[in-house]
Amino acid sequence: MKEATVNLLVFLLVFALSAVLLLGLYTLALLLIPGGRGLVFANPYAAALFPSLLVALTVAQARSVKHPGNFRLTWALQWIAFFFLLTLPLPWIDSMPPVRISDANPLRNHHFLPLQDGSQLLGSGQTSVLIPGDGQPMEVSQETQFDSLNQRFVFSNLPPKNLGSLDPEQEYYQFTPGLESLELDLLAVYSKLSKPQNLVILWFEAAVISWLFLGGYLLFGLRTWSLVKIVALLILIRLEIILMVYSLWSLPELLKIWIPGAPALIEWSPVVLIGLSASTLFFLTFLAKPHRAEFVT
Amino acid sequence: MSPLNRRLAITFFSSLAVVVGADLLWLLLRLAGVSWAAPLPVWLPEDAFWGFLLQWAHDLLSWIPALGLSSLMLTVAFQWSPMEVPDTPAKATRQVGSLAVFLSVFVAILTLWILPLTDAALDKFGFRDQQTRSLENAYFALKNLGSNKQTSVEIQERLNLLQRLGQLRPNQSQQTGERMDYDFELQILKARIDLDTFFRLHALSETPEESQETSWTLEQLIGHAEASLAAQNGDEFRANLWGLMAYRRIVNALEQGLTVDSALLERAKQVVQKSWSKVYAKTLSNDERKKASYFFRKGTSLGDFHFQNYLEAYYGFQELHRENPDDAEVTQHLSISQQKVSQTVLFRQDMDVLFHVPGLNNVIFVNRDHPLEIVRIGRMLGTDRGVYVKDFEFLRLADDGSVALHWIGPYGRWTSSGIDFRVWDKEAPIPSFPHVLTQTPGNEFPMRNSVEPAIFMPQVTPDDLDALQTAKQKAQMLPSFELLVHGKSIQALGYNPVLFQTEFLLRWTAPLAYFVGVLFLFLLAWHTRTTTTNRTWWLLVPTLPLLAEFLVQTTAWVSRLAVGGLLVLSGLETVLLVLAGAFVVSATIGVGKIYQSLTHR
Repeated sequence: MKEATVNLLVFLLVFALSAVLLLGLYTLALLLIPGGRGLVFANPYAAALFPSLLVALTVAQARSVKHPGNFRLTWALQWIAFFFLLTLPLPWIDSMPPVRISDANPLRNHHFLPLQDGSQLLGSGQTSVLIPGDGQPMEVSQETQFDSLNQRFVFSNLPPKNLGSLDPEQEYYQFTPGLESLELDLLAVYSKLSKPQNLVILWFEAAVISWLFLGGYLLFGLRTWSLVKIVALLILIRLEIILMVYSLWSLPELLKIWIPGAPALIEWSPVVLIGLSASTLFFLTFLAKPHRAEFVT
Repeated sequence: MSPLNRRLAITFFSSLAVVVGADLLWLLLRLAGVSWAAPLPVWLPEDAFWGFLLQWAHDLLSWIPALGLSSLMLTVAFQWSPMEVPDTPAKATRQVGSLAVFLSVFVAILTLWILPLTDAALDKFGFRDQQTRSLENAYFALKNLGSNKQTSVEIQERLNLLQRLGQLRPNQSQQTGERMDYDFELQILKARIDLDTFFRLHALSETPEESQETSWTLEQLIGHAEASLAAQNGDEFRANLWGLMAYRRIVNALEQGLTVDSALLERAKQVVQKSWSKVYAKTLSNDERKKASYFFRKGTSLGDFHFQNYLEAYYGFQELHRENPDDAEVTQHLSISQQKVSQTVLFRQDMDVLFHVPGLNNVIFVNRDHPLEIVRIGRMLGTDRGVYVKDFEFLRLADDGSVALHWIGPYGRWTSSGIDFRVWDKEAPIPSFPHVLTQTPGNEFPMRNSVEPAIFMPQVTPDDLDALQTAKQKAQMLPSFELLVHGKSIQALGYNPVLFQTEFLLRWTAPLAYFVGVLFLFLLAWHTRTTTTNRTWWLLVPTLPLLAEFLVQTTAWVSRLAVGGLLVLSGLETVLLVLAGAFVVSATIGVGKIYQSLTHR
């Protein structure tokens, strides 16, 4: 009981620390990139949710196999914690206004800002100077307003111009290709869970997703070395995320084409597929008995 | 070599061999143009082999930090036998420390020196290809005008372009599958220029061919011209026209690479010269008024020449040369005055040719904060004789935000004394000076005298602008030592210095961070080490480098955000202190932990 509680606390503590760290990184990105463009998630809490859960679970699993206590209880508590942390914050995160400073004017005095059509804008108080990219002469606008809704600049004597899609800051601080792919996959999963058609389906989806990630225990039961387990666990988590994207996005779309007019099947198919994968892992974990395995160290 | 180092070397080179093979396969797929693989950059044929090798080497070198870390972990966790660990913890810690220092120095050499070098070399290959394509396109645009429409200036432009191409690719003729052979084109063009000068100076009119003449053969054209000149009441004007037409056909044949009968060319030359001499004898030599005018203007031009008014002398002699190309004195003075003038002023036509060469495009900067002055340079090109600028635009704002001064200079030369905008047409005394769009009292366009613009002295030097093109792309492309210099100066030009400062700090602290990383990964590997003999750990050889590469890239990204954020909040000096402190603390903890671990093994 004691070890199970400690393992749960480790899970919660690591989740909190990881979330704080990710929120800090998000804040820095907002500080450095004008308008925060280039970030995959508009909401920092949403961006922090999944990675924090996965980091926390991995650390808690690593501790749990060394100090399992009542392993069934440890497993169940972690499942419950994962499930509730995944589902309960969703309405709260969704109701939070986007923290991305999209309404802030990205134009800084005496700094050039690239615009969408290749021109550059230089601000100086209310006045701004537009330097067209096509070789046309510079133009001066006495009054310049930033239209945050449409992400464009409105000038007193010139047609409006859209904000550029890529600026030096965004290019420099952009995600690495590996991280970008991971973030996009997590965004796909989050956006599906955060806008449920049916609450029952959402709970089932969250339950099987929690179950799926608890399948990581399988690797701790294998007779191999810790380093192999760590690498295998990270690869497994990445594959599970890809499986979730396929189940929640691609599979329903395919079913809409293959079997039109079967909404229940389309809605429940992700639950079934993720559930099958999770139960397979659970069955293998049950056989591997991670809490009893003799470790090769 | 200690067992740890030997085993690490074996693992490292085994992993490297895997990456060498995988990367070579990947490059070959890119070379073959497989749709899902990003295509290789385009290089010139003579650079392609070295470009491919360099790209391969660059890709491999980029993997080395990750390979180093993964090899260390594999070695320590699976290969380093407890029997091989030195007896005393101090000795063992020293061995691990030395290894960490060696790996960090290796990474430092790689990131600070070798990788920027390979980057620059690949960039140079790409630039050579881009420059060649640009020059060749300009050459073909001129050539495709056809010989009838090409002026002597355009022919000279073609020659200049070919000479530049020849300098860029001296061994181009040895390549196959090229759009053109530079040496062959150069021979044709050089042969043509002398002839062209002769025929243009002796041509009387530019009348288009009539249908009857169009059907004549080259032989018939020259024959009719010779007959007309020989006849008592012959028409010198028509003979001249037919001779010129014959010449054009010869030139067309030459341009197409056909063989031309040199006797026919000589006959056409004779016809044109004889007909021109006859017409000249009938007009200038018999017209005292025109003759007096010619000698008066020649005297004036000689006077300008002796008083060193070379620009006036140049235009005067040019006009006289057109009227009488046989005047040797005029020809000689024209040549000398052109040389003298080219040292002080620019010719528009020369500038047009010069800017066919790729340079920096659309360089924009703040000249000074108060009053706010913005400069845009359409194109900028560095040469041995100075930096040349095209479409130089200057705008000064008054305190109330209105435009105080706004002008655009078509061309200029930027030397240490400033930018000289004195540009003239090569054929006629027409200036191409800056065009003033707006000026207000107290903010007038500066003039040297009532006619010529003054030298404009910007607040920056061309060297300060080197980073501007990079600012729009990647700070990573600047050499390590220049990052700090540009990081300080670029803010005054209207750009964000944080990117440069972040890149500078990260590049110089990367080896230190790597040192700390080696220490902590050693600890992780030590705590997860095994003593049993099982070969399955070899599965990690292909997977661990991938994971290590992901971790290295992610750590670099997180460090970029963290250092950038600290720079914004607290400035360069504070961040330097924080990073130095963080390194000392983490390195001390790392070494201490390793000592402890090796003590309680």
